[in-house]
Amino acid sequence: MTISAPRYTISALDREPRWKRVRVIVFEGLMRRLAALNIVLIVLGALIVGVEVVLFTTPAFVALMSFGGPVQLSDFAVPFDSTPYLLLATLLTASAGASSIAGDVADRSITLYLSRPITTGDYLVGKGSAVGLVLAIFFLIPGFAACLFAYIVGNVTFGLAVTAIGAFVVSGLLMVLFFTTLALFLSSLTRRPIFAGAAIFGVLVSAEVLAQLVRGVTSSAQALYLSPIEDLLAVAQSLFGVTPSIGAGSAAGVVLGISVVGSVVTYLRVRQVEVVG
Amino acid sequence: MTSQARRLAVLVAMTYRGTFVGGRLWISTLLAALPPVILGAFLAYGVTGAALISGFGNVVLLLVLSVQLPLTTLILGVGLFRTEIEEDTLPFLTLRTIARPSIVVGKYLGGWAAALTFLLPSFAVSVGVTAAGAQGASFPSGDLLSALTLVLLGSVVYLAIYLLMGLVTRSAVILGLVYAFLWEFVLRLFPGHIPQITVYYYLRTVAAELTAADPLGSYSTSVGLGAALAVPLGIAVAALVLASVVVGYVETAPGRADG
Amino acid sequence: MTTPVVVATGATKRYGEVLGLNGFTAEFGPGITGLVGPNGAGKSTFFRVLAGQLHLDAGQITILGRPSSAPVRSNHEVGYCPESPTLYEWMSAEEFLRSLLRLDGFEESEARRRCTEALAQVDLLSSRDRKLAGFSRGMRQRVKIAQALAHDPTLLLLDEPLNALDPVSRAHLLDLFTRLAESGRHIILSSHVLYEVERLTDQIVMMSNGRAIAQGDLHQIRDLIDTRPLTVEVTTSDPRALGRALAGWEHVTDVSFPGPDKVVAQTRSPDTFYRALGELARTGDVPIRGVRGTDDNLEAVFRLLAE
Repeated sequence: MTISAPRYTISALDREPRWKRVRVIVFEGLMRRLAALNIVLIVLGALIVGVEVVLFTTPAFVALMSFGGPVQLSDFAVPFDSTPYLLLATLLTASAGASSIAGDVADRSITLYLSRPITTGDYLVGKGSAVGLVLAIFFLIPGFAACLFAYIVGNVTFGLAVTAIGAFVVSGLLMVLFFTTLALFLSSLTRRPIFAGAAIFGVLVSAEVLAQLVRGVTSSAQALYLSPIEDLLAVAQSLFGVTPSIGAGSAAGVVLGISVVGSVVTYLRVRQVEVVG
Repeated sequence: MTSQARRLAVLVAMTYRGTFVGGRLWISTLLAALPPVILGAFLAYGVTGAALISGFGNVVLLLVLSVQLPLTTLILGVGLFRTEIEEDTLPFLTLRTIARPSIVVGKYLGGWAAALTFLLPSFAVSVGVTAAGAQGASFPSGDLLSALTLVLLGSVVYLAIYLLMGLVTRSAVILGLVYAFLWEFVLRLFPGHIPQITVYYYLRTVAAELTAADPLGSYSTSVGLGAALAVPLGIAVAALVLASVVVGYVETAPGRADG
Repeated sequence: MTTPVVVATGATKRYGEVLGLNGFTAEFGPGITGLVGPNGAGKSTFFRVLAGQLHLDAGQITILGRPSSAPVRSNHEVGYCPESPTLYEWMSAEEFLRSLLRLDGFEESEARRRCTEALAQVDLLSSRDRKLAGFSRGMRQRVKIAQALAHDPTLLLLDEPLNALDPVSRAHLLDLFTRLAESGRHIILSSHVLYEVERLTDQIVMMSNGRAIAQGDLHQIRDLIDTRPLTVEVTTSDPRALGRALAGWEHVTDVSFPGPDKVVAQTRSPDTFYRALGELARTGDVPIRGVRGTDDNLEAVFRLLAE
């Protein structure tokens, strides 16, 4: 008597390409982050940008404030001097980004993600994109819309509007990159979104206060490099034709450097994450 | 059977110990390290004597009062109840024969003890670093008392406010950040009586009443020391009383956390 | 007439638009009562109301003669094992239990003694000094049961106490629950492991969609379901003969042959069926090797009622 084992073949599984799987993470994260609180923060930020840009690009107002002179590119940079706007940006980063990784570790859904045929990098790109899209709405759309409005109502020329839009886009993208990286990094350090949110705020505000303190003591503007917010402001101001207190190129280098290092550390950190219990 | 007071002491000890784990520990430690480190950096940069002592005052106002104190009490205060509600461990306490208002008091006292464990050493080391670099100059009369009172009184009132926030809403951290950095930060810059609706106003008033030296002593205020002490303490008591009422109505259900 | 331990009358609890309890009315008698129902039936909601973690929107619940919202002094009489696995991770098992006992008002020495006893009852003495963060799901479950027992409550509320437990631990705890009931404690427990609930008690309350759909003795509940015929499986070496015989009985509504030596019959009248089957076996006309009521058990009754 002979026994022959049955033969099995593994049929190829038709899978969606990896980018589509990552897209699922992006959409899920985006939908979750378009919650009431974040929408309120975005709307408030949009109001600040909208009102200030429109006001400061109205020739009559500019003439009144500047004691004569046409609307210039630098008039579009007013929101970046606004403390409430910067605080709102920080709040939105904390609100939208704190739970990006920490929340997944806390409810153990990170194991569901990483047990799929995606890499850790895919997961982080998906998570970062979701947070980044929310921040992009905050940083890009209001400025874009305000510049467009200023052009449509005839307050500025087409060239000036396009240049301003370009400045908003470039500075906005840099801010999105930095804040997203910071949020993901701090979120990866804890399984409690509450601490990640406080840490995001704490790091940014502490750095700003430290920079101002050191500047006050040393009377050196170079101290402002210590604060990522000051670095971002320097880049933004430079793009809008305003002379910043510190070098825009160096400031951009600091921000990009922090973003790159932060991304690498986040990647290494998430690879080490253990979900126990 | 032991009295409610002994049960309270057990809860205080439990809460205190439970603070020194994970993110709370690291963030609070980093915040505690900031003032002494920055003063040390000033000293290393060559700032000494009266300039360093003045720098101490600026650090207290700009860093301790505006960043360290709010953030430390936020992280510790919000977590006192919010963490228990979200992790569904609150039933372990509420099912005990300890009155619910006592749970609020016990949590608060444990949290305050933990906050002081970070804040007081930070203050002491900052004073030490400043004294080390004073080179014969001394702290102006009342400066240290003023700064210490700021820390103690500020921790009492902010912790109570954040405890209440953590009890009533799941967005307590964001709400707390809005309160600390929009309400307290921005409103105090307004003219007239508007700053009087911030806790910062009364804390600065207390500081200014206890010392005449800049920068702690220079603050324009229209209330006296008594009112400046009473208002924050009153706010803290009111927050705790409200929390004691709210805790009786808090509901916890898996996946349906209150707030 | 025994006094009910827990009485729920029209208990209603809403989560927004969702009804967790929907006019839930039931009585839980002394001893062990099993609370069974599908996911989302409202079992955990009910336990949380009993434990004072949730407040009713309507109706009332009394526990040991007092309203569920009674002051904290009565908490001594109630021990609650929640479904959630989270504990105070930074504590050891001993510290956890001892702290909770001290919060209950026990002196340090008494708290230690009770802690040791409770951990021994759930077979965790050897792990008493380990941090709870390192406990497995099964060990966490046992710690939760231990903290529910430690202060010697009159009424134990156990929400899915057998979850995540290995067979040995399950058997151990089932024995423990039985002993506790025999010593005069009352236990209300929920479980999805229906045959184990059946092993513990005949007293059942069935829930579905926030309502009680049946309560009482399991077999009485089954007997009351007279709209659905009882299904009986008979093992025989001559299924055709048996099938012919059964088909001739007017109370048998269906006969099927699931296997070479089995006949499954559905009957409207279980008593008549079993008498007639016994008579048939006695005459020897048809060889009968075994009889099994396939839906005279909790799972089948549950399925019938929940459909």
